[in-house]
Amino acid sequence: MNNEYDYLFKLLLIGDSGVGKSCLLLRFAEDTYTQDYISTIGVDFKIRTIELDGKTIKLQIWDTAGQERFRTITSSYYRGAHGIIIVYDVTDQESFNNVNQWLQEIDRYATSGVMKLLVGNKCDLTDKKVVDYAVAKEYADSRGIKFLETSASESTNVEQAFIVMSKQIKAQMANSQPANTSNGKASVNLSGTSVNAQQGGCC
Amino acid sequence: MPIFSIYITSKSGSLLYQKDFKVLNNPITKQNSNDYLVIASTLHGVHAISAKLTPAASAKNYLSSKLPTNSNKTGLRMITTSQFKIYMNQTVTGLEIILFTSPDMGQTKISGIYDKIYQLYCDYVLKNPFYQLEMPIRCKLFDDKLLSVVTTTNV
Amino acid sequence: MAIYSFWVYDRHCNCIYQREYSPLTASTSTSASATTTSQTGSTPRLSQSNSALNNSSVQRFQQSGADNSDTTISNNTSLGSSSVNNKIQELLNNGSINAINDNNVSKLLFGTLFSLRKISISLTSAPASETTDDEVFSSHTSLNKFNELKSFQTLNYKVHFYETLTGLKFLVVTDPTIRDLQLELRNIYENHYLNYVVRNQLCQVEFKEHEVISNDKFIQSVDAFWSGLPEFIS
Repeated sequence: MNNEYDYLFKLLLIGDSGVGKSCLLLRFAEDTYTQDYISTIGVDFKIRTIELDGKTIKLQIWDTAGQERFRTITSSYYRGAHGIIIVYDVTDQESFNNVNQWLQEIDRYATSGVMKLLVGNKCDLTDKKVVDYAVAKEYADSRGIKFLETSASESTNVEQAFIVMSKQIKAQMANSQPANTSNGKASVNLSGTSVNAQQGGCC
Repeated sequence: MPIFSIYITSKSGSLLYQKDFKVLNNPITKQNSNDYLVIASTLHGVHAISAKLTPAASAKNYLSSKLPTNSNKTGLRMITTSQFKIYMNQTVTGLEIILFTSPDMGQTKISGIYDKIYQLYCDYVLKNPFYQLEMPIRCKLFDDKLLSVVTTTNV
Repeated sequence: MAIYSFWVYDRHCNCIYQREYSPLTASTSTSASATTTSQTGSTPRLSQSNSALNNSSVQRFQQSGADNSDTTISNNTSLGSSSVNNKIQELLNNGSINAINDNNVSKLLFGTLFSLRKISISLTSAPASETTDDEVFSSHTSLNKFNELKSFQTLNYKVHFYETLTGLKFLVVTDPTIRDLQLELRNIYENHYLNYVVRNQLCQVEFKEHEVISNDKFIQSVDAFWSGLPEFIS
């Protein structure tokens, strides 16, 4: 078994087509070539390994296609996601208006406690910008969602967006596992060998 | 009839466990860890799609079938290629156990192996107090027991 | 009913021929009633497929279909009874031709195939990071090393797959209990596709998007081939 990583987080990237979801990913993910599953099965996978509090975490990002034919299937892609990133285009008012619909879809298909992050992409195109930072920020706050503006072409904040998300998820996981929090760091250090000792005793 | 590899994916399609076994003439080459994640999740997606492709005239088949241990009634079950077969099994809770085997492996033998693996998963993963649900399986005891099940099958 | 549908995709991933002997569809309408209506001899689906096609050749095909399947059956001694004869005729007539080449089912079927094919190839070759494009290409062309996808199945159906070296993809969707039909697909390519499409001077070499094979000869000979198999109505 390969022990290269301790955690695997499933992140979902959604938003209208054309808002630059895939570009956002290309900046972040480690595989340089694209697999191009997105046009065939409605989802593409991008992976990035990060270090957080001494733990190696693999972020597997599910980049979903907006096409109609995948509608019935994308619901199954929402299942069990740890975090969902909703992307809109700051130069396209329509894509921002649709954020509401995407949030509804999350409520319908995803786990209730899922982490959400709103991302306004293409913020480098300042002269064409139609969605104000303040407006979007206010909207996100009212929904209790974190908000960031990014630019895939200048790779501003892209890294930030994903790290913020991972930190939140990890914190949430620690909270939902009372055993972990009560033992603090000690429980985290219990890996392979200690677990076995414990199990040997049980059996 | 050897087993080449085992993948276990969660109900959300994330890879929980992956192991290639040392078998003579194993056609499956080692991939990097990211490729394994992508393969597992792709199979998960294809599994969901394949249920949507069911011809209307054939839907009766699954109603008449009774498979207590395997709830994979509408999704992909078997993929045949010239060098290996892929068997996909799904429990009622959505856990998928995917076996890569030699092309001569039969369905009956697979069912037995699948039951054993699921039992090991329950005993050594789910009952392990330090195992965090939906996260990669890092339990040495599970590793060892699984290896012995596969070794006896592959002999 | 054991052979549900037959599909041909060209190397640009377009579905250039699609023949349905029974609907492969995501519509959840009661399948039992659909099959009974088609067997009682009323023709609601027939008219439906006609209007969907806007293709005059269909009408001609359905008339010529009679002699066509007659010859098939006389060649095949195992299917002697007239009730079997009628049933085959029924299935051929009630099916549709090139009706759903561009719809979602067709694209999802192709997507499934594409992904599985990719997995079967990538797992038997070295990790992509270590192979250059040239090597990938040469491993595709060397036939011994190439791990080809043969079929995939669920509890309800089985898809048999054959791909030519030129990238044409032949698929047939059948009952899951049916034996491997890869050789039959190859036969269709070698004896039917080559004869009636490739060697037909009126047929285009490359199919553009939304272009399909509407060649009567090809449709008839393929229909005769499938309906001549003992598996067709088993």
